[in-house]
Amino acid sequence: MTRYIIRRLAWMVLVLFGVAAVTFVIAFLVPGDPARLYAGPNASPASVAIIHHQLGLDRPVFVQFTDYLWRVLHLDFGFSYRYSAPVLPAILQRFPATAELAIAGVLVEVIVGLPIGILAATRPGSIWDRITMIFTFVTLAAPPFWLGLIFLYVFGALVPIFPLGGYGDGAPQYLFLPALTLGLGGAGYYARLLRAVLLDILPKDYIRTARAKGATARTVMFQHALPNALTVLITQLGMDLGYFLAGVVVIETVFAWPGIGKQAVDAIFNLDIPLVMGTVLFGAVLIVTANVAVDIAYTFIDPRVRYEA
Amino acid sequence: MRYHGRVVAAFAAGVMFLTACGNSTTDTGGKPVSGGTLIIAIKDDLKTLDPAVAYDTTGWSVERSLFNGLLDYQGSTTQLVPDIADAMPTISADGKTYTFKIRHGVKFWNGREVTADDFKYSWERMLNPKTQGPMTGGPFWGSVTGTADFYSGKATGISGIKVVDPNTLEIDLDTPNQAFLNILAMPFGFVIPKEAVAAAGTDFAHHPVGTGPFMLDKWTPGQLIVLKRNPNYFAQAPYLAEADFQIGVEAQVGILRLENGQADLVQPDTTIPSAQYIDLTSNPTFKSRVLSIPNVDVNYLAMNVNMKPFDNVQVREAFNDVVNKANLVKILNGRAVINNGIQAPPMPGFVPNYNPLGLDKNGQNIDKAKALLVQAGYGPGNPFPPQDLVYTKANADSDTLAASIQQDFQKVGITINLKGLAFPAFLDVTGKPNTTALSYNGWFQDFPDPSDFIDPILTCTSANVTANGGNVAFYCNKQVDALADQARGDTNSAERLKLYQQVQDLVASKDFPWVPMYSTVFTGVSSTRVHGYALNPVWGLVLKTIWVTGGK
Repeated sequence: MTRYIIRRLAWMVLVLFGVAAVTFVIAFLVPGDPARLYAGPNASPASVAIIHHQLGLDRPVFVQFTDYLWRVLHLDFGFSYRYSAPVLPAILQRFPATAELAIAGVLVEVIVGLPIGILAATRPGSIWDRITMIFTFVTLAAPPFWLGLIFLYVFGALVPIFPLGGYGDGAPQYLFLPALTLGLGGAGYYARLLRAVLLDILPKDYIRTARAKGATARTVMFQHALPNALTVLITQLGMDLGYFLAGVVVIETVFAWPGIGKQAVDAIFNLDIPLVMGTVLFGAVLIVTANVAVDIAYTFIDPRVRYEA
Repeated sequence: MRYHGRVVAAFAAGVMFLTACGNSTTDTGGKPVSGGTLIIAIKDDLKTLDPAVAYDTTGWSVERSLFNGLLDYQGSTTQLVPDIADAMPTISADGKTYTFKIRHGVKFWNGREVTADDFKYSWERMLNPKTQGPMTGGPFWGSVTGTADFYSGKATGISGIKVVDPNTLEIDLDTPNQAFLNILAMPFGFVIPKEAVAAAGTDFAHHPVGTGPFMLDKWTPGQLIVLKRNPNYFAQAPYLAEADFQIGVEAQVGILRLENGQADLVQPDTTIPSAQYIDLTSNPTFKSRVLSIPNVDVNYLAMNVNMKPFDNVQVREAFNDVVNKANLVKILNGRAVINNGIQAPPMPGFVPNYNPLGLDKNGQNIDKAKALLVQAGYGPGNPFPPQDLVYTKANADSDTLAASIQQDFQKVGITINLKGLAFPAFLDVTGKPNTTALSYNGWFQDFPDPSDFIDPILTCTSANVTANGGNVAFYCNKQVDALADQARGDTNSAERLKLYQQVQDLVASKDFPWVPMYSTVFTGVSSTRVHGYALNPVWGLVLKTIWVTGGK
């Protein structure tokens, strides 16, 4: 068990190094001089050259990369070219908004997806099954930016129940539409996943035995079937949470939600390499951590994983 | 200022054009009301509020409310007037020495009075390479005596900036520069207190201290900037108690917020997107609240004169006869005017209806273009090589505009491949010599002087670079440089403008490094509670004249 965890953590470090290296190389391959953007589009070539030197961009790429890694090991992610501010505090300042949205999004996935999945699985082939599956099909197929804009237009402008985007210090009325948009796609996916897993479990012998012993449908579902479907769901939930925490780019942009996803997009458009690297690496840490956490959680939920490890 | 829609802000007013192009201010009727909060929705967070560093119009439009310089532009005009200066400067007969008296009683937010020393400190900091500001080593301040030694580290101060006494400042130039007062009025010339910079450490960008009508109260990155009225402002106090900049709002959503009473202004430094412009101008409530004023910009195709096939002047002239400029104006909802020259309305020196090639009302002469291409050796036996048109995907209109140009060239048998790039990549590939043959560019003024449309983008100096150049046609004609040098120091205004017109003739009717196409018109909109909203040709948003009624 301990060896298993150590192995997973070592793998995590390796992946993060890989992410840092690939991001760094890509950032340097993208055409454009960050000094030019830093100085402003109509700064003179002489000004740009001076700033290029001041930012250390005239050093060999390898030197810049090793220097970067060394600093990252000391939790120094560098200085944002665009915002003239240290990268890590800038990311941490934005992270709570992303975390709030990510957790709310996962909650929507669970609260909407689970009942629909159970409803569909317990009445396969019924009208309820068909309606819910059409619903999940639509939510899965609808692009989030489109869904977001529709929600904004309908519930923000036509029937102004919610504000038209913004953060509003994280107040629930500001959170509702972005969390709904974020969670609906996943809810559709969970409903279909749960339906499939439950349809696989429900005909099994132990379920039949439980029913034969006189267990109610509720008991069968919640005490026997659902716990066995959990491993699949938890894997997906963990991955989703990690992915959401790493910044939900489209939703944050559509709803003017000041999280790290929007920050990353802005950084890319502004060729702000330290901030791009910082947000990508920060996101990678969250995704990889979520993955490892799910792997470890597995060992507690499913003893077979523990034995194999 | 080369730009694309996201970066640009282009507010050009020019008094003579205002009436011709629609409303330039919202209603100013009624007595101004003091108090209230103005809500401004903007898309991108500010890069910095350090006036030594910011070189973007969104930043400038906020800085304008926080800081002051020696000079300012009056109201909605390009007329320079004293700001912290007590009066306009005395200028020596040779045009090389400027003496300013500093107004008494101007105080920073921290209560300390502004002196001539503060200007010397602010400018030396702004030009110091360590500050990493864009004016270091640049041409605008380069004529101030002693800047070269300062940049190179040979001198610790700039000898040409002299504090005569606490209220007298003298500036010496190596060569006369008629644009220098405009340069002083740019935000780079704003005054800041030394002690506040020291207290902020490396982060003056987020903790600025100035003298302006508003003070920075709060800046939550990516979310909100709050300005509060400065109770000790030295000039007339602003009406607004507060201005909130809500960050991260896309223009389309911003317009919805405005229509629903959740915002008062939307991205005030960027023109209204085309789709929303049509909606707003057909909306009875907002129709009359749409401002419409000319930009000081020129949009053109640049042909790299060092690259084939554009090293042949006949080819460049032929290209000048092909583009249907009227179509481009239509695509922009009529928010542009055809421009066949290199100066923009209403810049001094702009020649209305300039048409040296005798083009038709669409800006074309297809028959002549075909004949010129034949003369240049192209025809059925030697077809014209397909060309990439490099442009930046600035907004929803960019692709449509480029496609329209592509179709025009099909009519003369030339294949144009469209190559839309992100802004950083666009700057990179167009700014390097021998890299991009044909590109779609725009240039917006830094200040209202014709030199700004020639020196950075059409001189041999600006062509002689290895990267990051503004002269994307890499055009060099020593005669143009000589005329530009002469005009820069010429104290006779009329004669000076004639020199710039000679430059325009050389460029637009003899050498043809560009296909000048159009100059745009800026449009903005305000909510029904906003009064006194006006745009300055150089600054854009002027908060201190606005007042609000009703609401928050």
